[in-house]
Amino acid sequence: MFDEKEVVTKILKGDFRAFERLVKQYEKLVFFVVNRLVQHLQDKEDICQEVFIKVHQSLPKFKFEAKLSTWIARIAYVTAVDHVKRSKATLRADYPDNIDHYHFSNDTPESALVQKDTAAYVNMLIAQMPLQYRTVLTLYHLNEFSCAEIEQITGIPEGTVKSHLFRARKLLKDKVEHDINH
Amino acid sequence: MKKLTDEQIQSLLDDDHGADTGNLSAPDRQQLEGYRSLFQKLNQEPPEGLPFNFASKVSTQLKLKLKRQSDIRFNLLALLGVLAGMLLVYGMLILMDNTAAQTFLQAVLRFKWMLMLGVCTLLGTLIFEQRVVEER
Repeated sequence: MFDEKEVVTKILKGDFRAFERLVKQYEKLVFFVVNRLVQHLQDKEDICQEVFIKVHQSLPKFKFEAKLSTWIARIAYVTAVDHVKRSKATLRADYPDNIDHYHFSNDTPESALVQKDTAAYVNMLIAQMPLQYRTVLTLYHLNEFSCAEIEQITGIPEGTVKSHLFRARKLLKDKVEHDINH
Repeated sequence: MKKLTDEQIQSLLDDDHGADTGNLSAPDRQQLEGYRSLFQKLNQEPPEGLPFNFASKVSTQLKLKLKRQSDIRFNLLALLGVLAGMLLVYGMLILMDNTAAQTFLQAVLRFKWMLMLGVCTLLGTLIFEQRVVEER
């Protein structure tokens, strides 16, 4: 049983084993966020490490006003977004001029191959989406945060989170149905 | 016929097993089925992940970072110690023998580059030793 308060208190006293327990508890959460937002595979582990080192540095400021998972997810989100912003190559695709008019581009030969595995195809389509769509889909479906918690993590208003979520899912459903059935 | 709204679809999928979908039209049911299938894919964890020893790697990295911070503090204190020692000697000489204090100051100014080289050598040795310990 993972007791947040007990583990945090031990970490603040300099217990590195307690810190390892915290990392084990939340490594999936952090990886899911970083994995979806950052494109380059070799950077992902380094960014996850950076997130946990930031968590350790900022832990004295954590006052249990929010859930520890939400607080860690916010650090992961901010760190990943900073990394994406620094990487100029992905900037255009991640931040389109008008997100509400975003649509998937036409098929490429590689995507036709991936279509055989629907889950892999969905992941490939998500990777093409703007950063905000990728973020809300990941936080809601993989990390199982509510829309209100996603607002706390990303700073995007709850109503916008919902509209991004619904639109992203509709785009995915339509694209998958169109491509798999045709 | 009115189509299902986003909120209604969400609610029906959240209440997956308990929801009564019998009163839905065929296109609505088909739409709901499409979303249900998509949700299954979206909820699937990615096949790749972090290495099994990730937690211990992070812990090692953190210890190294904290050690570096403590080394930097120690090196700065060593530098301040040398400067404070020289000021202390000069201050005591002023109190006891002003001529000796002036001679000390002139000697320090005359050999300032030697002294700076000495301080740099001391700091360099400390940093080298700390790096060797880190690598081991």
